[in-house]
Amino acid sequence: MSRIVNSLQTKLIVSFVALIVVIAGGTYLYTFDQAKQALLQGAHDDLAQIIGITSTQFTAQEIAQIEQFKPGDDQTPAYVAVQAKLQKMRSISPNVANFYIMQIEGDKVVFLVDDAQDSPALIGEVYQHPEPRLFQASQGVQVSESLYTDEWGTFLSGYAPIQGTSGTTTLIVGADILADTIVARENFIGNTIYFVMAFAILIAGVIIGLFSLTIIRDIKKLNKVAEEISMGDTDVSVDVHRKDEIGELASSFGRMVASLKIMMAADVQPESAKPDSAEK
Amino acid sequence: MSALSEKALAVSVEYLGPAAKVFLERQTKWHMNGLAFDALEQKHLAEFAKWVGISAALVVDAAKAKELSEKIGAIK
Repeated sequence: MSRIVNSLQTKLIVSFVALIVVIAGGTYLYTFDQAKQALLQGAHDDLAQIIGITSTQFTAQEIAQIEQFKPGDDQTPAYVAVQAKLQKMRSISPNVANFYIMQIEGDKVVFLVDDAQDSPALIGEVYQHPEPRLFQASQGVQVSESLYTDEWGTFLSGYAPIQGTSGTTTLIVGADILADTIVARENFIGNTIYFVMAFAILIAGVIIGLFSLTIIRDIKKLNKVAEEISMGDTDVSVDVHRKDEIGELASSFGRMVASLKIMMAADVQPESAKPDSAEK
Repeated sequence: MSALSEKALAVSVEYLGPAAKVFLERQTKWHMNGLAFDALEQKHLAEFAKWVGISAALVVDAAKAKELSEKIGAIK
C-alpha cells in the first residue's frame, strides 16, 4: 500500500486529476454564472421592450373603459375586447406567460384585466404580495431584478404605465415570464457547458494518461537497469529513446553502463573479432 | 597524443564515458597490429572506425555503436 502511495505514477495521476478538477470546476462555475447572468439580462431587456410596447397599444377610449371596470364586468364587450388585445399581445410574445392590467390605489394594487383564460384575476381583486418595484412603474418601465415569487407563482415580471385620460398614470400593464422558462434555459446552458467540459476533461485525461504512462514506463526501464547493475549484472542495455530530459538521463545512464562494462570486463571483444587471443 | 586520437577520444567519450580511452586503446592494440592509440593517423581511420563499431555494439546498443563508428570514420 505504501509503495503505491509513494509511487511516482500515483503522484503524477493524483496531481493531474487534482489540477483538472480544480481548473474544470472553476471554469464551469465561472462560465455557468456568467451565462446565467447574461440570460437573465437578456430576458430582462426583452421584457422591458415588450411591456413598453404593450403599454402604448391602448386607445384613449379603451383606457377610459378600463378605468371604469368594476367587479362583474368581465363579460362585457369592453372587457372582452381589452382581454382579447392582451391575449393577442401574448400570442406574439412567446416567452410571456401573462399580460394583465392593474390600478394602483394608494398602497394597494388591484387587478382590472387579466388575459388568463383559466382562473384569471378578478376585477377589483387585490394583489396580495406585489413586489415593491411595481409601485415605481407609474414613473416608467420597471422589470424585476431577479425572479420574484408571489401567490401566482415565480416569475420575472415587467410593468409599464398606461397614460390615463386625465394624464395620470394609475393604470399599470404587467407581463410575466415564467421562472420555468428561464430555469429551463439556464439548465440547457449549464448542461451544454457541463458536457463540453466533461468531453474536454476526458480528452485531456487520455492525453495526460498516455503522457504519464510513457514517462513512467521509461523511468521503470531505467530503474530496472540500475537494479540489475547494482546486483552485479552488467549485461544490460538502456532501451530508452527520448529527446527530453528523461532521454538525456537515459543517455547519461547508457554512457555510465558502457563505461562500467568496459572497465569491469577483462575482455569485451567478440571471439570472432579477436585475431589472436595471445594479443590480450 | 595525435590530433586524430584526441578527436576520436572526444567523440567516443560521448558514448562510452570515462572508459573510452581504455576501449579505444584496446581496439588499436588488438585489431591493428598493436598500434598505439596515441599514434593513430588518417590512414588507419577506416579500419579503426570499423573495429570501434563492432566492439562498441557489445557495450551500447547497435544504433549508437553504428553512430559512433560513423562519427569516427568522418573525422578529418
